Amino acid sequence: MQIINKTRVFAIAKKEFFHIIHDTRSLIIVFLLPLIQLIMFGYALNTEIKNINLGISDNAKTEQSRALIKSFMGSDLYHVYSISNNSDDIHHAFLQKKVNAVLLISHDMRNLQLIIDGSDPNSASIIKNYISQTLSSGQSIIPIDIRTQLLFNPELKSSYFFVPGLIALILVMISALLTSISITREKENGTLEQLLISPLLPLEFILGKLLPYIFISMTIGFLILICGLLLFDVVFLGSAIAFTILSFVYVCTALSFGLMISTVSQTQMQAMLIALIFTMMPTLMLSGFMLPLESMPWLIRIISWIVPAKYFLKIARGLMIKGNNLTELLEPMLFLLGFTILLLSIAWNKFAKQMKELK
Amino acid sequence: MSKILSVYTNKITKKFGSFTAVDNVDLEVYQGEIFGFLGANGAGKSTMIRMLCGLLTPSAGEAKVGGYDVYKESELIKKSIGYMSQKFSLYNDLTVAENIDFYGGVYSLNKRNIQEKKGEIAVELDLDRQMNRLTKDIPVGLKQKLALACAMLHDPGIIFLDEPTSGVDPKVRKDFWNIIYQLSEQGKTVFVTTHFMDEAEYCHRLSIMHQGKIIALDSPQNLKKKNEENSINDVFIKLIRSQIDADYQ
Repeated sequence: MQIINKTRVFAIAKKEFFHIIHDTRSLIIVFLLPLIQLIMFGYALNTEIKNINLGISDNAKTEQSRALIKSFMGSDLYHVYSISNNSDDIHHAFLQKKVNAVLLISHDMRNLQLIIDGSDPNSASIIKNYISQTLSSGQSIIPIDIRTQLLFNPELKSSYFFVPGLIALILVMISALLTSISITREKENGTLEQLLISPLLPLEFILGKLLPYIFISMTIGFLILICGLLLFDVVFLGSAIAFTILSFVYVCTALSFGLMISTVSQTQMQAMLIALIFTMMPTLMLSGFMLPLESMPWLIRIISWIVPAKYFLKIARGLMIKGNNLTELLEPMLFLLGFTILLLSIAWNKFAKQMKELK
Repeated sequence: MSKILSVYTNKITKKFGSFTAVDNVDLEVYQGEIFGFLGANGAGKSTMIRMLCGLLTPSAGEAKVGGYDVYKESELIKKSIGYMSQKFSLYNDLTVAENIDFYGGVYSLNKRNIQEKKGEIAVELDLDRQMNRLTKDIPVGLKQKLALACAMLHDPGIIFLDEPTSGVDPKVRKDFWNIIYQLSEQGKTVFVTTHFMDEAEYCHRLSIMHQGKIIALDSPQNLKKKNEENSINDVFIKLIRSQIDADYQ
């Protein structure tokens, strides 16, 4: 086992840094793309519904029922219409898309019936949530008892769910892409061969490659976080130091994955495709970002254990929305650390072997 | 001139599966010599050089480069040799100065050392005003010379040049050979592979390779005399033809 030489590691890191800053076009893409992704996802993934057309048929006409209607009118979520009790009228109102939901108040105020347009099940359930929330907030007025309490995200803002998810997605994608391309480029250009003749050790090469990209990926991470906070008005309850430490670990996992890809691909194109497919799909589908893991079959849930984004999502959501501290997030951090060590040693091993057998 | 052994091989062999790329080659090359490998593509020239550089482990035989064993001391060999291949080994998207800094760093030279070398290279190659230009923007010939300079930053005693002049014009080739002669005069051993016959004439000693074997080894003058031909080109054709005839029978 030879000793790592710092001069050589920094020579690689410095060179890599120059590659990045000379290539202004790629540099712009690297920093701009995450922002565009954030904005596009941010607005496309918005599951909040505003301007719900709510028809209310008030058959009680008491002070209580009027107070109830007022509580709906007072919220900017609803456009409240008065509607007759006639089932044909209600049916027509739904067909003509005049209303998204109808609330029927019985004459004795004992029963409330809520009818919701179910043709879009997603928005139907959101509307149901909104209305029951408004009802429960006005519960003192009426004798019925509904108590729902939403923790951490009382307004059910969708930005609370997608901003942490996007940080997880963009970081893993960009990081894996950057390292995998940078090594395969040296293979393609033949510069790797020149380095093999030099006293440079495989581990020095790998560490030198990692350093500048850790810096870049972390910068991107902060950039998305800050833009997410500014544009989509998400809370950040945890500490910035914890975020720095934990995203550093996550970025290392992703970069090591990129290194591993570079040992199996021959061209930059190949590396790019593998990096994108193997980071994007699992992160979108199997991390709990878009779809809740709890409702998936057991086999898929087991597979999700090896998706790094799953752990970072816990970290990012925990830090931003719940205000977790470092010790509470130790478990996902240890998982990520384990992945990093595993991936890095596979990459190092394979790379050292390839360096020896280079034809 | 006292002869100091620089590279020595004894029955060195490299097999790739059932294919024998280098077949029982014995060599003795001395310090300050310009030693050429001439041969067709696939004759085993590059494999030979790669084994001597420590890029490939021989399948059998012995070899010592600069006194170091190729099996056990490849790390020490790497520090004492320079290598430049037909493939361009500089980074096109870095400036000339950044390339020199990088290779200097890879060979663990200190900053002052690198600065000195940079100054020397700037004067020798007349690159002073181009130091901050991107390498892709300087002429091919100059790039090639710069690549050699970068391979020599750590002042190696032995230099391996794998088809260094393929793809450059005759003027640059001539300049390049002048540099090679200078290096030899400084006491450096230079290995060159080539398939240019005229270039082969410039070597002190020349080995002609065919199917992994050295079929002739002598100075270009002696090779011509022995084979009663006027040029290395004719010698080459004659030797290869007789070899093929012998194989055929």
